[in-house]
Amino acid sequence: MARQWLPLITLSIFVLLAAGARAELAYVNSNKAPLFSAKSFSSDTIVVLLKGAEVNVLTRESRWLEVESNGQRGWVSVLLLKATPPGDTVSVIGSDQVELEGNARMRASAVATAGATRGLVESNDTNAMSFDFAELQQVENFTISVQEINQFGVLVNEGE
Amino acid sequence: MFQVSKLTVSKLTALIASLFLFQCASVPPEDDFRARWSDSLLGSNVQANTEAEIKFGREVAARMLVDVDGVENFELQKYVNTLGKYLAQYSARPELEFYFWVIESDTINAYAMPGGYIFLTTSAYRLMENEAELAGVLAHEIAHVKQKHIVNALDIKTVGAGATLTQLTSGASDAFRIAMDQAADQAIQLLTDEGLNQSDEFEADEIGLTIMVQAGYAPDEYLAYLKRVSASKATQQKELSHTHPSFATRLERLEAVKVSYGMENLNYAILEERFKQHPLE
Amino acid sequence: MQVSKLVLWSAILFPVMGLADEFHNVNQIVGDRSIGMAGAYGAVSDDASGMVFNPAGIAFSNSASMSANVNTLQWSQITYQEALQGKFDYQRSSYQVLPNFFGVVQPFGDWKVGFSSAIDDSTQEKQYQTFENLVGIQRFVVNLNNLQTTYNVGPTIAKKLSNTVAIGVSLPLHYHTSEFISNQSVLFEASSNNQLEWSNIYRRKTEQGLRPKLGIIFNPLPKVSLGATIDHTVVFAAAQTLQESQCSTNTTDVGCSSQINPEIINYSLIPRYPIQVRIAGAWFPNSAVLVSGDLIYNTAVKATDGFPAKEITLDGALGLEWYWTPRWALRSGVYTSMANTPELNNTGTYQNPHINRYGSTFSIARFSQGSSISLGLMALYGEGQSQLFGSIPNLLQSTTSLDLNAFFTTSYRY
Repeated sequence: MARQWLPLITLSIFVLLAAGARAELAYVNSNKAPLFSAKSFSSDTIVVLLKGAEVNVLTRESRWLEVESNGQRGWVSVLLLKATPPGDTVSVIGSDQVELEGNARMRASAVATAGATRGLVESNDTNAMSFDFAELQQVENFTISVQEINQFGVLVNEGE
Repeated sequence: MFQVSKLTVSKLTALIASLFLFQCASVPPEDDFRARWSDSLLGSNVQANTEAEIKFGREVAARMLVDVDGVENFELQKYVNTLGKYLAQYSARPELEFYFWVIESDTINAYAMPGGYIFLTTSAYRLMENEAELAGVLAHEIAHVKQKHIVNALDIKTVGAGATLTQLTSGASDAFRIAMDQAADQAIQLLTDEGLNQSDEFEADEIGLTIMVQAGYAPDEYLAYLKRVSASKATQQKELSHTHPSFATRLERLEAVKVSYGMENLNYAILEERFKQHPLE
Repeated sequence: MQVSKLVLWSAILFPVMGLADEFHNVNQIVGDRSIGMAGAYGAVSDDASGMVFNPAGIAFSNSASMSANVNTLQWSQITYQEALQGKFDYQRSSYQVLPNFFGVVQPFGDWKVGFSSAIDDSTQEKQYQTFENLVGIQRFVVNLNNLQTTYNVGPTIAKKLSNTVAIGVSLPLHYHTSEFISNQSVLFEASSNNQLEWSNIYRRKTEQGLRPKLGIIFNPLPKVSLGATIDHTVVFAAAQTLQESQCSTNTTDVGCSSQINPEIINYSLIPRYPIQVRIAGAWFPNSAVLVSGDLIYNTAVKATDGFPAKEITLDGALGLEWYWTPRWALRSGVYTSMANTPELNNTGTYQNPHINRYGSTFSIARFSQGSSISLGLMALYGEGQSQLFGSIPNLLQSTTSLDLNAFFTTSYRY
């Protein structure tokens, strides 16, 4: 009977080894991510990783991750890494109001039920809400180029 | 049935074992250990979820702008936006475009709306003395957006994070439109009156401080600013005190955060001169 | 000659109940993810399938979910070796399509609420055999049909007490129904005085009760989960119906020389079930691998009117889930289903079969954004002894059983 289970036991051992030894990858999602020698901002910076860099996660302790990148080992703040590489900026198709045309398949009854299950009461004065999308557009018109941002950052980093 | 040759079984074992060793896995660093790799497929809808968050955030921002106006000082607004976007690089939300706006108000406060819309009042600005303090406040707000505190704090029945928000912003009918409006109103209430829960504020303080330091600013300046606010006129700080935990507790916690992250004695940027080049009037 | 006749008489008069699963405490393995892992799910249980294994588990589920339409094709066969005149095997087999699980989980404020419908046990056993040229007997025909099902249907509620501890309670209804029909006829050789012997037995049972189950899950370390549950099936109402008839003819008498006239007898005998305790552990080293193990302990039950005693059983299950991409996962497991009957001895009569079973499962799952489907196989092999002809001591049959199960499951998250 024991011999029947031998392959299973071998497989289990492999699983356990693989589970322990396997690499966890993460990607730098911020513009820069300094790799510190210890879990402290006062410690030395080993190297500064750039956006999109791939690292191997070794251990995890509170808000720090010990990672390895290009042969260098150090600690990075967990806030700057994610499991997926950084994607493109998401923008909303320019519109001042939420579109009222919805999904053609959606039945009105389903939507009304959805509203009701969310405990909403039909408000009589839908026009009581007002919005100042004109000013919001002013806000959104402030596009700062990447060069300007980098230029801005120069003074900040000189201070270190 | 159980007479399968031992050789076949060994071969099968070897094959499966080798598959294990060749596989690479990417694990979300902050997630729940029970989450399985297939859960990352849900995240592949980050696009739609983020769009919904932004649409909702715009709605809240536009609603707030009815009652307040931005300062008409192009240079100042540009300065705040540039600093804000520079800080946002360390927010780990590269898919969002952050926007900043200084608004006229007697209240000392800053507001973070979903999708990256951050407002700062003139009273708050006037109390600052250098760029690091401004960075600290903006970083705190960016942290709120990063952690989706507002979205999560809204009544789950009306707005939930992610998919439900997507449904509501689709505006498929009047019922949804009403739901959106009510949620936006609730969000304004949270920002100006009720405030988020304490643990969210402490988390924003902690993460904000980390963002500020990662960007290169001296963390002590944020604490100095908070101290100054707590000493300011009661009427001006009323809203801030009502919507946030007490200053004493926040400062105590921030000191502890500084120590645990090794942020003491950092000779990081303060940049008083550049700040003074952008006065309000 | 004498012994064989005696054997036949026993077979005719006292046909055995067979592989009913009151003789095992671990029966159907249900649920879409759990079935692939051979039911080693007590410390995982974080989706709709989990309600049956550990009600506390759903407190850790991240969204509303539904585990639907677990359809299984089940084929089983049991062989009583050299049962007849030391030469012929008795063989019973069956084939059924069984949707054995449906579950839904929904968050409700701080709580998670769920509903599940599971088939805890299902046996179908059919025998159609004709034996010819036995010693002294021209032909012996055996027809047997045995169908038993146990349902557990009901709600579950769970709550996280902290980030690392959750508790849950299930309160399903227990409903059991079984029907046993046996027809046997013997045609004696022309040289004998006896001509024909025919017997028929019909037995029907139903029971209703509750199966309250309490569970707790605890995460002592990151990536490790421990679970424990306790449950007890309590039967409130039960009914049995029995009808026996028999007729023997011979060359001298007219009509039946001996007979039992058909008569319907009703009973209301309440069976007792053991208390079941499950202790489980699971390790989640990363998001692609999950290893878990369960120990299932059932207490002993004293014999009651109409029902045999049950012994303590200790069963185990080990399961593994492995993703090789975010869209594909493999699951596999092994488990035991030990007999809760005592081991047979050479002096007793009417002893129940004692067959220990060992099973393994394997399945492949495919995931898309909110849903998954999986396809798998399960095999359960048993070995032991039976005493088919109960009145004769010292006549035991080596018995083997094999259950094969192909399953198709789906789950959906919303």
